[in-house]
Amino acid sequence: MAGRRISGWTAFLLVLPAFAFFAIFYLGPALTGAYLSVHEWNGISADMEFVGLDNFARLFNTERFWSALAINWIVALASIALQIPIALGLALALSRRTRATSAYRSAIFLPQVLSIAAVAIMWVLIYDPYSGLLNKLITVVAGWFGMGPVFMAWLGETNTALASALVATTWYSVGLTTILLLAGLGGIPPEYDDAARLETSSQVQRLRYVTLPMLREVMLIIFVLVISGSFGHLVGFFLLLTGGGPAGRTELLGIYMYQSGMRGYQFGYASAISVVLVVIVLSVVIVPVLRIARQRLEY
Amino acid sequence: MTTSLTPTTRSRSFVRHALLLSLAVMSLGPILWIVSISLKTQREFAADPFGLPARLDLNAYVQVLTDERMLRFIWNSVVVTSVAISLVLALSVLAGYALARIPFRGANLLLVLFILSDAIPLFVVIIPLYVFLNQLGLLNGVWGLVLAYAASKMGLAVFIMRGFFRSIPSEMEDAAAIDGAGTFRLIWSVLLPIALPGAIVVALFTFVSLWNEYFLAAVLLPSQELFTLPAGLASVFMSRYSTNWPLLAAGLVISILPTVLLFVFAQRRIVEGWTVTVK
Repeated sequence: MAGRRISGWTAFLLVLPAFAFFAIFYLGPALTGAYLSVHEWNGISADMEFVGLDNFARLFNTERFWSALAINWIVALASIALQIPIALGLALALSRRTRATSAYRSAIFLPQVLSIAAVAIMWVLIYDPYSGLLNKLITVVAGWFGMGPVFMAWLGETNTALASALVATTWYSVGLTTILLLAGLGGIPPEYDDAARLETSSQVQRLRYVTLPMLREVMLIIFVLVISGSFGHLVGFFLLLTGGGPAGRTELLGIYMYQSGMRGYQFGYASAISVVLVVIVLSVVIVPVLRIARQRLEY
Repeated sequence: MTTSLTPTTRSRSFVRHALLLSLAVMSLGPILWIVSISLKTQREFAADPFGLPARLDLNAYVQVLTDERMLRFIWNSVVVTSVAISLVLALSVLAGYALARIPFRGANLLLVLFILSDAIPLFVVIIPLYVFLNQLGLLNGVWGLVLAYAASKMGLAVFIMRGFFRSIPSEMEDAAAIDGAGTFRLIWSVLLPIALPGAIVVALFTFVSLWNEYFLAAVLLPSQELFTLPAGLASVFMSRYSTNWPLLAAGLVISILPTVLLFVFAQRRIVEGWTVTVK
């Protein structure tokens, strides 16, 4: 064993700087958030008023909070429902490495290396009523049937905004989901598939009884990533894409938090939303994280 | 496997390629459209936003790259990401080594916390984070953002480096230890060269994700003077260039160019960083 001459203290000192980052930038804000959530504070004045659970009571009695929470879960679940079938189909089609599949892989992974800001701006341009790509394509097709040009404000109409935003997020995220599923498929020993081929010639049966059960672990991680992403990094994306509008139809919980804090100067109230967000994300990720950690500790 | 080209398999493979091709077009189409806009003059764009540009007009790029504000955004991005990456690399190598090789009490808990920190986006605490960093006096310049960036990537980086050190046989360290090398010399001169592939994976995925980060930058940077490229582009998009699409498109293309180029040349390693938690 290599580490025999190195003491536990040295190990501790080696880990300490990296751990300090975690402690300061995760635990620090979490504790600050918990503290602020039971206070009322405008962010400027020196005194803070202790208000107990008032912020939470107000939050749970506000319709805007429940609406944002519902929209957030719709986004999370719809993202899963949209991404998994597309990504699974892609991963199965691309699992063998040939020159053609490598090219397809690159094309489908590429959006994942773009910045969320660039992608959001790009989709605002695509959905633009007058010069946007989407309306132009629809206008061309409509022309074949003798119909006039289309000037639809996809992100501005209450009944299309959320669906349009979901198309944009799927375009951006499906590459990563595909990559993860491909990695999962790579982890399936070929003998399993060969054995299954002897048993049944039906591709559907093989998919159902061999491939999908072996992908369960990866699926779990995808669920976690998509859900925590919907409460996390999609906030910046939606903020640029729609700003939460129209009429709050695309307002995620994080947008409501951001508006209450940075725009409304209600730091106590915004921190209460932050506490709710932390509880949601923690309860989604904790089990899979412990599972990954346990696996890694075994070897 | 058998590749007998019966009519059914041949038509099935045709359908498969047609589907894949249309998905690839959907994936790349929007990006190519933006590139085509960036190569047009504003008048040409107003006349026809969709056709290919009549000739390559690089005026929009010249304008963006001579815009003092844009240059400042680019410079800020370079500074912020390179300092954060250096911090992540240096500290994750040390911690990854200790967690991989030295048995000590609390190591398991630390590993769980590092993985946990990767699974929780910092966005969910953006308001308290802002208040907290403000109290520490870190929001007068770029330091608050740089340190938050380093923290947000530290967990996964430690996890990857630990995995890499575990995959290296320990004989070389034993030999160096017998030679009497100290712990730090052991790490820097013996282990680091071997762990270099791991460090490259860490550097690449950290770069891609931090170069692209938008929301933390927009909230934690005190003034537009200090904005990074994504934050700057977004704020400019909200105001000035939004009426001049070729200019905006050129800015977008310039902002995505570094990560796209990196992706073209180092796709396998970048993908490795993304998939490390599922392998």
